[in-house]
Amino acid sequence: MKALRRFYHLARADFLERVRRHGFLVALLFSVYAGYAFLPPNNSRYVTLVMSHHRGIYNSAWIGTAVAMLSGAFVSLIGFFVVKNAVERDRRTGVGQILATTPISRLQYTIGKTLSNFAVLAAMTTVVALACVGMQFLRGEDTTFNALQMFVPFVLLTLPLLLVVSAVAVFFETMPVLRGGIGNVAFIFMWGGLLSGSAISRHLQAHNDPLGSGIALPGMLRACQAAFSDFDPANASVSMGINIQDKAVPLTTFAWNGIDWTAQYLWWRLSWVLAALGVAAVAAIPFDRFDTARSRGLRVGRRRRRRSLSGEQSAAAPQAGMDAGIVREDAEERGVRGRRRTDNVALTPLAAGTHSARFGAMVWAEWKLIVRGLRWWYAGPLGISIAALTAPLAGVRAIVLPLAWFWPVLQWSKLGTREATYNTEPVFFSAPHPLSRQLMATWVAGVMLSVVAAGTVALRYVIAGEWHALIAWCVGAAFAPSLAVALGTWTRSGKAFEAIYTGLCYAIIQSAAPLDFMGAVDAASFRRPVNFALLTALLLLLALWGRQRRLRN
Amino acid sequence: MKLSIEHVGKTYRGGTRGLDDFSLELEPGVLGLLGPNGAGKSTLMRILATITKPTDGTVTWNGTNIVKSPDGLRSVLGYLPQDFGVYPNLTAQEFLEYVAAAKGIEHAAARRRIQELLVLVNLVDARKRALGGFSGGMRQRVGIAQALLNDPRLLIVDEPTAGLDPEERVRFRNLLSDLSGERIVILSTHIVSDVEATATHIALINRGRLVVSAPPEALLQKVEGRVWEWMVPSSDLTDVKARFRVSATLRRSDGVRVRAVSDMQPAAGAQPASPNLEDAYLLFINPAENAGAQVA
Repeated sequence: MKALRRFYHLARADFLERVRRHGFLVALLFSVYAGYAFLPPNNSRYVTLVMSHHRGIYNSAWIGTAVAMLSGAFVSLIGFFVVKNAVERDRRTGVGQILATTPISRLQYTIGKTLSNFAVLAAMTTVVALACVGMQFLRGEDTTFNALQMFVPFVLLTLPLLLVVSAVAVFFETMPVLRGGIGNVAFIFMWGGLLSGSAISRHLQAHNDPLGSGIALPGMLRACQAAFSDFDPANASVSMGINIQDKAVPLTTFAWNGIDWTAQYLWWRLSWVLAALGVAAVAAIPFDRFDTARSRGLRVGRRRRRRSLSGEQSAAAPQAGMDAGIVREDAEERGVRGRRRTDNVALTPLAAGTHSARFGAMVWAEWKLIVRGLRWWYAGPLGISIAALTAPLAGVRAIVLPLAWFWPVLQWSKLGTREATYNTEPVFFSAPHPLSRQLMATWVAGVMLSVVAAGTVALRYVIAGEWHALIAWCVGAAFAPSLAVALGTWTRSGKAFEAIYTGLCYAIIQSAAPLDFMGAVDAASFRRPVNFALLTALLLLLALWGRQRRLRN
Repeated sequence: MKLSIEHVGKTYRGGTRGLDDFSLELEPGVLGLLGPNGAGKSTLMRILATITKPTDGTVTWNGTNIVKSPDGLRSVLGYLPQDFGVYPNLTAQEFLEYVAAAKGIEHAAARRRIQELLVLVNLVDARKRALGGFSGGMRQRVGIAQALLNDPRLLIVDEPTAGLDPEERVRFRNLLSDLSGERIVILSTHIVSDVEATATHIALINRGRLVVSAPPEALLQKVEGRVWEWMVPSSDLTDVKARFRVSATLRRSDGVRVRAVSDMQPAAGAQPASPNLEDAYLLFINPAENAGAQVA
């Protein structure tokens, strides 16, 4: 009973803290829009759930099931980034230190956080479901409302998946290696895998998948086949997502009356709930219970081992195995004992005229912030450089360049966010010209990173006389850091950039020409680099505006 | 050199008033800013540091409006915020070099200044270590160094001695006194003894408003003859605390020695005592209705 109360209060406090933020309102607005966008009218330029050129009539069953699956797909991606900060917030605010001194166990904590994450995602899903009721009457294809057929798919298809996402978010937060950008990027790939895994369920045989499409689609395909005799479910193209068409395609409709829920189907969905609770339980294992000395101790230990190997370890250094607190005290001691001259220190007054704009020094400092601590990172650009100089030009353009500019995603994602992350805003925002010097220096350092990552590709273009490709490369080199700085300045977090930029690179590798900011898909196009150059300028202006707002709040 | 704060107010989103019709004129010296939590000290400091924009009033630095033209002040401003961070992967020296560049200090002058400041704040031996491994006190000393980098004419320090050990605290107080001759120093703190040791002028702030502004001697004069000390039985202490502005208590074998601020002799055996700034603070900041004395 006590444990249940703890779960409840842990989840409740966290849920209330989140839903009272502006970001949650934005997430709810997105949910309402999603409910609208998932059910396009028949003459629309995009489709969501279609089988060849057919779709179900917008009755309660089709709307409920189709939107439940689509919500599962989209809310699981966006929702992950919405909720993946529950543990981090406790860490940052210091609330975690207080919780760590209470009888709450690690397991209770991770399950409580999972439930809190789930409550947020469930609230978003509820809004989508309610929007669907309005959409059924707005589209008006079938105005007979059936609450069970409308809402049961949300409960049984969407919510179990979102519980899994909630638990995975907590697991990623408790695993040190997955806590930051690496985890964000890894999740996007996991999500892509989940969707492509679900796509195989278009066959008539039912099976268990996280989206629940293996339960819903076979029945839909059978209903489509019954309505259209020329429809072959085995070879039909099934599309689920937001698929933009060149022109409006009229779809023919058929009636589908919902899923016949069997005990097996219920067990399959329950299995995802159990899997989620399992992930939440596993998350308790790496959870450090806000003991900063645990992770710091590991880092200090590694550093000492390195020092020891290189023979730099001094006799005065503390012995391995001592905790970080002792290390700090030792540092303090050395600071005091090693004092060279502490009293009566005369500060030389700065003469007039010793002030000047030192933009180069700012850029250099920003560059150091980007590259500090990247030991093995350079192996990537090195390998990419070799590939860029030796591979066929078409391969360099289509594969090497997107890879080269995907590699620095975690470094770019920190641009524009560092001041907020490390709370250095008061120091730098009270320095002269924080916009024209500091923010622009950040951007220039980001462009330098573009050059380091893919400079050899540009060199290859020059050698081959590929001037169009070179122009696209130049635009791309400026576009990525501009997007990072703009998103970082406005969101004060690298998550938005990591998600959007990973999606962009993935789309480019999939040959999505309209998103090709680097000239990897179609280097001959001149209009696209011009468009992206304009977008780059716009992003920079957005970044300056965002920082300006932040400067004088 | 003059900093003028005229009728400055700050209303936050949601209507919370952070600062209300605050006016003060500052000339070289150390201004000690005292007030309870949430009084508006940090809001005032952030406005003077050009980080927060006031919603009412003007602030001028040598006649220039710092809200409209902040960069003139920023080049001669040193600011140590109460709550600030550092980049954990940079060393102390690299971080100071970065701040020096942001403040536009020339390379050679910056290098010399950084070396001097590292000696001053006792971080010479730790200058090449990553800031991520620094203790709170060491980090605070980095903060002090960055605030002094550009030889500021206006130095704003918010709770500067938080996290410092007693020895460092005394040294920093002495440093502030030494610096004050040629610049304006604004020191905000809860530690009255820090203000007592350094301030040439004191401003008491409460609920966003300036309560009183005067040199320490004038403040002490106002409380002269209103500070009393007497012995009470332990069982009466709660009642005494409810009736008087008690600034200190000291347990003895025969009861508790109470020090309180009161217009009239609070008890038969009460003896007048020499006032200090804590007594003055209590007199002006504490609500008068529950106390035995009325604010003059």
